[in-house]
Amino acid sequence: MQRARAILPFSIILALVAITLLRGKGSSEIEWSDSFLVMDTIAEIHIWSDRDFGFGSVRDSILREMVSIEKLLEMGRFKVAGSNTSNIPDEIERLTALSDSAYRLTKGFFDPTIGAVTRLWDFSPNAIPPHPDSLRNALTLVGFDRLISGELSEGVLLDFGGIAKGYACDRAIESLRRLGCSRAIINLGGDLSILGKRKDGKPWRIAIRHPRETHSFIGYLDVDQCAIATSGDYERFFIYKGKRYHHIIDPKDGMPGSRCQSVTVVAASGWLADAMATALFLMGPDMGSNLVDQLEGIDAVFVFAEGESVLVTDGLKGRFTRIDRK
Amino acid sequence: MIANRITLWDIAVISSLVTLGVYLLTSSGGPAKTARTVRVVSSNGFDQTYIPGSNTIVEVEGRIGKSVIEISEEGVRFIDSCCPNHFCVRRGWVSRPGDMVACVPNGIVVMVIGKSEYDGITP
Repeated sequence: MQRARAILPFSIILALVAITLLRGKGSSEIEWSDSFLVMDTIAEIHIWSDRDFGFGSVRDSILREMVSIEKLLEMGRFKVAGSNTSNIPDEIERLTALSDSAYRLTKGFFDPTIGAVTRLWDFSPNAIPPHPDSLRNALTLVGFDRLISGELSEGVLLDFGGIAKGYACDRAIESLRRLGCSRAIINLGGDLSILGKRKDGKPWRIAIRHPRETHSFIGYLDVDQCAIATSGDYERFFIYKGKRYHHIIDPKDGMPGSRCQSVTVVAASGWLADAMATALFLMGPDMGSNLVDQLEGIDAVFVFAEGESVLVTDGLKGRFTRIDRK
Repeated sequence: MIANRITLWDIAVISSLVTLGVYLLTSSGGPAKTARTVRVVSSNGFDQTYIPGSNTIVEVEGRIGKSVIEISEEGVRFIDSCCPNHFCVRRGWVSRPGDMVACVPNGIVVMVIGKSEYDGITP
């Protein structure tokens, strides 16, 4: 009896040690991350994998691809409609085709022909808005449908800034998937593409920055594989005569949108989330949520221009949690 | 009576169990770790990690000139940079794991690294 009493606790300890070792074995997943500057922003790569499939070379390959998209965008920015189109790179053609879809889905609130207008805006701290006459002239060169129909020609500047980051995330996720990666997050300046599920089966938890308090979050989303993009009026802006002028420009009037502080979109692909975030920001909560209701697989969180109210579309109800200010 | 029941072996066993229990709780599934470090990376090859504590001023040469970065218990911030728009300086302090600030024209990124309760932050 005395002996049994001495052995029992040791058995318990041995069992616990075994459990600990097994837990360690089970959680041997490698978590790898890196970040670099590209496309005028920060790119972050997070990979979770049971094996190292050459993370360094994966990073280099993703970086190369993003740099090539960045270079093409520079070309696209100065592409003049009506010029010889026989040597347009495939990537620009793909972006143009995706932009066409986004233009139609958003009833023209996303319009890549806005380049002539956006180049008039400067968002340095002491900037002032462009002269109304300059804006009026530039707006005559905006209209994706008129570009496609051939009505617009010389002077049109394409600006894929509202779709390119999401598209680059999609390409990065595709590369990872081809390599057999099943769990990753690509974050390109706030455009996130998420591959797979978390190992513990819980949803990914993504925080949404508070549009007016840089140290806080307005809430968080619990999501599975998807793409997320946010458009907000708080990253590039200047204040002139007490009014905020930011970088999300409405192709209808050439002025910054004023119906929201931010919009976060969840969609199946990065390019769509990116383009929809821009368009829904300009549409505002009323028109924007009506559009979302008509579309499948797209949902959004709108932060109203007044700042305290948040509108969450049906597909994100129960998946968005508001963080109250303390 | 009780003194007769508890032996040195029992004390050793209980201590071991408590130690192991504490280890199991803190090794995973326990409270999030809050230890933070700050990483400063420049496209010129500068790459250093700092532990936020007493105030440290770091001057980093980037693509177009110098950026000045402050690291303290509050986190990290750009206090000056040679870039034209100073978006990096206007961003102020960042302190949460996952937070980043970049001076894109000068090719410098500062980031707070540590265990975060979030898998990602947008934007």
